[in-house]
Amino acid sequence: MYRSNRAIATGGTAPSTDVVSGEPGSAPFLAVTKLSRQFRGVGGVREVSFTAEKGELVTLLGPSGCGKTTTLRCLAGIEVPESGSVRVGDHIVTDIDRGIHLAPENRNVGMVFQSFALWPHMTVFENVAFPLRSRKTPAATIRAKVTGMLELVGLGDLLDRTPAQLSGGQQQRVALARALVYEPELLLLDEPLSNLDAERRESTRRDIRRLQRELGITSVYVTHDQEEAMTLSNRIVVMRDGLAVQSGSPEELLQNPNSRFVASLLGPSNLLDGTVVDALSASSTVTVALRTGGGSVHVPARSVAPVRAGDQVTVLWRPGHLQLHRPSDPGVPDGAVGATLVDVRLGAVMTEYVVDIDGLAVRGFALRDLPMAVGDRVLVSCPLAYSVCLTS
Amino acid sequence: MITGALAREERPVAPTPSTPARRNARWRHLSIDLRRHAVPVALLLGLCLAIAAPLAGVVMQSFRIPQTLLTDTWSLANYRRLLESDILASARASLIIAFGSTIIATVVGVTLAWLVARTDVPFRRGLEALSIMPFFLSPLIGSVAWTYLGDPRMGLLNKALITIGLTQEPLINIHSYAGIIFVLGLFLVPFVVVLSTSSLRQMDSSLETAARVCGASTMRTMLRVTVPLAAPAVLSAALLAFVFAIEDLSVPLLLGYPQGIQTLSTRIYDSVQIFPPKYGVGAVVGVLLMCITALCLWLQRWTLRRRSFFTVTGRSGGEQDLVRLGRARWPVFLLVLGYVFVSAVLPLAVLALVALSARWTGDVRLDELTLANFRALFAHGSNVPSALLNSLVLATICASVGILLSVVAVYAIERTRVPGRRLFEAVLTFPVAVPGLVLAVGLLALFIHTWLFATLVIIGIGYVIRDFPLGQRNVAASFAAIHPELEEAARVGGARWLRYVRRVLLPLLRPGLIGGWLLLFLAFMREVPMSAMLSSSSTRTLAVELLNNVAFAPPGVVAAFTLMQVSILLLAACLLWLATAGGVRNRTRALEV
Ligand SMILES: Nc1ncnc2c1ncn2[C@@H]1O[C@H](COP(=O)(O)OP(=O)(O)OP(=O)(O)O)[C@@H](O)[C@H]1O
Ligand SMILES: [Mg+2]
Repeated sequence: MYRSNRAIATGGTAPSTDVVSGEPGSAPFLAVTKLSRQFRGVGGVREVSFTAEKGELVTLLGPSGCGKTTTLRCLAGIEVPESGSVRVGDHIVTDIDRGIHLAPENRNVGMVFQSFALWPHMTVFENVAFPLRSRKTPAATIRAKVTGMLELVGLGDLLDRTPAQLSGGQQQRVALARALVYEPELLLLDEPLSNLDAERRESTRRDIRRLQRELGITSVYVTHDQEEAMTLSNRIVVMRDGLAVQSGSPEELLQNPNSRFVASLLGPSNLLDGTVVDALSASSTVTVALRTGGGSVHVPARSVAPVRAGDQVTVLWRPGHLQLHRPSDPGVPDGAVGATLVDVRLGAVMTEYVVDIDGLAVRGFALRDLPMAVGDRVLVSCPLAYSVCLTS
Repeated sequence: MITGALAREERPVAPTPSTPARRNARWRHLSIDLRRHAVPVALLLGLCLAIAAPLAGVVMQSFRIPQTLLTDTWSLANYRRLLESDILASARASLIIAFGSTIIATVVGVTLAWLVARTDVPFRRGLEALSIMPFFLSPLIGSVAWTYLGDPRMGLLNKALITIGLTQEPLINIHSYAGIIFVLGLFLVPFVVVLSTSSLRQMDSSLETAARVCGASTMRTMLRVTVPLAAPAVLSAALLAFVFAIEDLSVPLLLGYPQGIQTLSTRIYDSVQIFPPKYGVGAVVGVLLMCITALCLWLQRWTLRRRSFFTVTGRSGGEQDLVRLGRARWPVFLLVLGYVFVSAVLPLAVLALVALSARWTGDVRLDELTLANFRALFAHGSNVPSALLNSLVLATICASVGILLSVVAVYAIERTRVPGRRLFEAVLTFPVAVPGLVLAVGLLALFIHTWLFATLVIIGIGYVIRDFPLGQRNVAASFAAIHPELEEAARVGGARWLRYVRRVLLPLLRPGLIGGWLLLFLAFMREVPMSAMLSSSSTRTLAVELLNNVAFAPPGVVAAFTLMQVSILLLAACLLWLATAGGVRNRTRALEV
């Protein structure tokens, strides 16, 4: 559905819709390479690269101001990057080195904006029909497609309302229908849930996932909410200060975060500073001396990158992976360290507790009631698989 | 050590800074961006040039001495003229008139604004609307009306005072400094009212309440709290009034010129009306006038810079505590009505009276009423129909062009990333500081030897340039309410620029565009200085024809003509009122420089 005749590619001779050479199927469907867009040298994004297979949902995750929206707008063609290239399927839509950057209307992408961006002077039907009319689709087809799509998002009976007469969740669905109705190759979503209240968010999130899977549409989803990212994504790109700092599947990121930043972004975590005391060259298992209030305690950890004795590192313990033992318990694991239970908070789902390892506070979650009381001496351990040694 | 400790970590390092490859990429990026917005950007550039050209024209003209018909030499001789006594006298006259009328306008205007904004005077809304009535009458119309009221020989007021035996001699002479100051001041009041009402409304009333809780009386509260707090807004309104006063042509021309009172504005007018025209003198006086207005506007901006000091925006929408006038409520109400009577009712009444009288000598003769004067306007040989047509055509076309250009300019400034677009934005506000008379001199300097001279086109160019900022501010205000994502959504959805403009942008802008269009239409229908300077016998507008008539036609016909203009202006004003719900607030925005 590319209208190459409308391309604004510069350089005159540069073809706007290159077909990528090489065997089909091997290359990822979406390839973003070294995309940079800065605003007078600050902000924006720098050399962001990531890929997505066909039908996948990739999430750009990061704190406010890290450049997620900028990246998405470059993908849509709204923002002109300073360098980098973007390939969607067989088409190179951006390649600044060759002066190619298709205007938004010449790409086949759909976008759901953070503000929804529904046109207030048009009805729901007209809003959704607008992209089809821009494509000169026959009227009968438009009617069928629009009603079909609105049924799909559960708004079949609100065709003649104006956006002002809809609730936030309904507006969100109209925006989604408008982005999907012309079957774009790529769907871009900019924090689509941030304008909704908590209950709506949950159900809309499920709907987005369902639609995205049913239609098999490759999507890039922007959020700063790690839970959204975890539940929706095939792949997560973590961004910080304009850089993509790590990307991978949710499991990969959870298991092998490459920095304290990524680790803490993905959920509650204990980040404990220490020094490597013993690194066996053959295995990834290391022993780390954690700095405590008085001195240090030795714990085993699994290192993601190679380390040497004497390196300053951080050990990541997720609260949910910690185990508490009474000193009298049989079968206490080897690496367990002594601590005092200083706080216990009961909850409906789990019990949250804090132990004090010689002045070092560590938080943990347990699914069952704790068989000990505040003030008791305990042993705390983290299974080697989940005790991650971070180098930065 | 618990979650979320990222503060102490080292930030990722920046990639290599400026290398040739990177600069190259930057240039590519800019060229793609510019190409995308080529049309609006080119128009913006053209517009800035069109605004700068007449200004350059005036300045060049001021250094030019004509030798033969087509050759000039450059010299400072024109500037030496500035020091001669007749020009100095005019400068003095201008300053006296501008100061005097500014004082009247500020005192009356701020008092009215305070009464309708902060006190419990009865029928506040209605009074507010009535007090800006003279805005739609224009100083030209006011001057004509006050000639019939305050002329020493034929003035209705003088005759009436003599008849009831208060005086033997005529008391009022409208053809004097005092007369000019009074009429001009009266017609500047609405500007001050509009400009200061909104500021007074925004003022946090809790400051006043606090003063009163501390035991201060109403009067004391007003003097010690309200006045200092409102001072910047008042000062800014006064400076604007001063600019309007010093560049006004119609009042001094009608009331002072026949008596030999020459202001800077009538000098400029004179310099092109006499034969042979002395464009050099006009230009040099124009440069002087422009310096004065620019200085005032710069001061005005400067006073507003510290505005945040006295406004509390958080509560501006809410109901404010009003000052209770107590027993003074109704007397104060009558006083305000008195102002409305003097500035609107009396002038309109006398115009109607004169227009309906067969002969006007200053006496009311109810038995001789006639419609002949109105018939004379459209009688065979009258220039009125062609002037009416000229005005309607000019105002309609220029308002449309002005609004269209405003949309393009605002779009280019707000939605593109053209380097230096903020500079362009500043250039677009220049015409505010350029009096119409001066702009006209500049246009004459540019076009005197071309076919454009003595056509409606040159007047139209002047109109559009002069009042472009008015339209632009209106459009910009409505533009600000349109989220950029509404456009981006259309583009991503596959709409090309034109389709987006037609289907999304214009429908959303429509209310603002209609308001802006009517405002420009109104401004053009009553425009005097440029029309007077640039028109020829076949391109007279209504206002110029009226100026002409005052000199040559019988009073009845002039009055009838004036009334016709009043009705056109009031009609446009009503439409404006309807088009912009809460019309006052919108006009405020438009008037602020
Ligand atoms: N038009 C612009 N001009 C100047 N700076 C900009 C512009 N757009 C974005 N930036 C800057 O670029 C950085 C990234 O902005 P971006 O909108 O992409 O952040 P984000 O990750 O989407 O944040 P949020 O979660 O708050 O939406 C910010 O520091 C922002 O200030
Ligand atoms: Mg964002």
